[in-house]
Amino acid sequence: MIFNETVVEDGHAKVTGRAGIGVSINEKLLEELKADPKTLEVKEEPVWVVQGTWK
Amino acid sequence: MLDMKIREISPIVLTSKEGGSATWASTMILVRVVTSDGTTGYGEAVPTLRVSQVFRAVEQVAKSLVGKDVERLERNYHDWYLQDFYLSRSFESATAISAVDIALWDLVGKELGAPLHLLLGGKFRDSVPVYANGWYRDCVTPEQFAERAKELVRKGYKGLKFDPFGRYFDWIDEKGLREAEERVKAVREAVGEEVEIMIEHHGRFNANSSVEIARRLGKYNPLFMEEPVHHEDVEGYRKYRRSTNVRIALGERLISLKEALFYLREGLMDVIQPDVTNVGGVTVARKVCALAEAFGVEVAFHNAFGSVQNAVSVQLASVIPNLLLLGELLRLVPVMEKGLDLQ
Repeated sequence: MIFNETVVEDGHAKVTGRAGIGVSINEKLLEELKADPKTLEVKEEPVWVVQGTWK
Repeated sequence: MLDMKIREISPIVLTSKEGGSATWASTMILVRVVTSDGTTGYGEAVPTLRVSQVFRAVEQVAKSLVGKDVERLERNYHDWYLQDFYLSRSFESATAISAVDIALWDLVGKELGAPLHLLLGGKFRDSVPVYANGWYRDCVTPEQFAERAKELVRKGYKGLKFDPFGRYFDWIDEKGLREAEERVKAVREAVGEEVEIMIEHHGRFNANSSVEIARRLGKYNPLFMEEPVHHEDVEGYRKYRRSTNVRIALGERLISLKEALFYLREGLMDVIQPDVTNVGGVTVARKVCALAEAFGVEVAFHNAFGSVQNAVSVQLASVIPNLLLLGELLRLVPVMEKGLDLQ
């Protein structure tokens, strides 16, 4: 989604000196993934758990 | 004066068929703010089960802020506080204004040619210690948890957070306690004593259950127990505090500075976990961190959504003196990785 992702090395995220929050958005990909806002299906496994662990 | 007006505020919902480590990780809500001179800034809001409601809340915030000065960050937050009678009670409103606030800070930085950390007082550290989160998709057996944990340690992670509680909610029985202990024991043995482990509870238990959990799992030396009790159960947290000696982390559901003050003043946490995408953006998050510093409480930003949240969280984490760790879900979530420049 963003071109200049935060680099993580040896358990540490590097702090960029680029302007603002430091990332630029992939506008083309953004257009490809854009969707209408809609309600989500409610399944037995709640959305707040990591998938496949509600067992 | 930067002389930039807010021309447009747009919520954008993104989805991926690939899914993610959590259902909400396959949906993102970005907020794009465009200025009068055409400069674009981005923020991010929290999706959970409220995607359409948050989308509409951002549209409502736009009605209040379009036409106003980009650089008047405190004033813009205040103006929404003035307009929305229920801001202090509404997650949707709080995450909407948070996303817009992040985008406004992004714009001010771009206009000045300065990174956010410079606007906030400069770097306290050049890199931010992170822990891995969301790494245990489809893990059920202790062996599965242990194997995945070893992979992360090999990649350099020095902290791992995970939820070992399966499908238990509100209460847990002896079988659940035994299963959780087997998973935690397996991870601790797999990673050794030099790697921090953090036990995620997802705010799912009552106090009696969480106290029993602490008695069973405390011996594995977790760095903290995250949201061991239902978020709003203040009496439960008091009981948990009186009955255990483990470190408590909470804060991802805080939606205002004054709500953070309440939990801090009650002494209910050792580590605060503000989420910049719902506590009030950069404008409020920095105040929460300062407040926590005054209480001697460390900060571990909650950072479980998308790339924009991650970027702004790293910037904030780089400037505060009382940082403990930053959660990191990003690289483990397919929708976020697509199109990335993986350096």
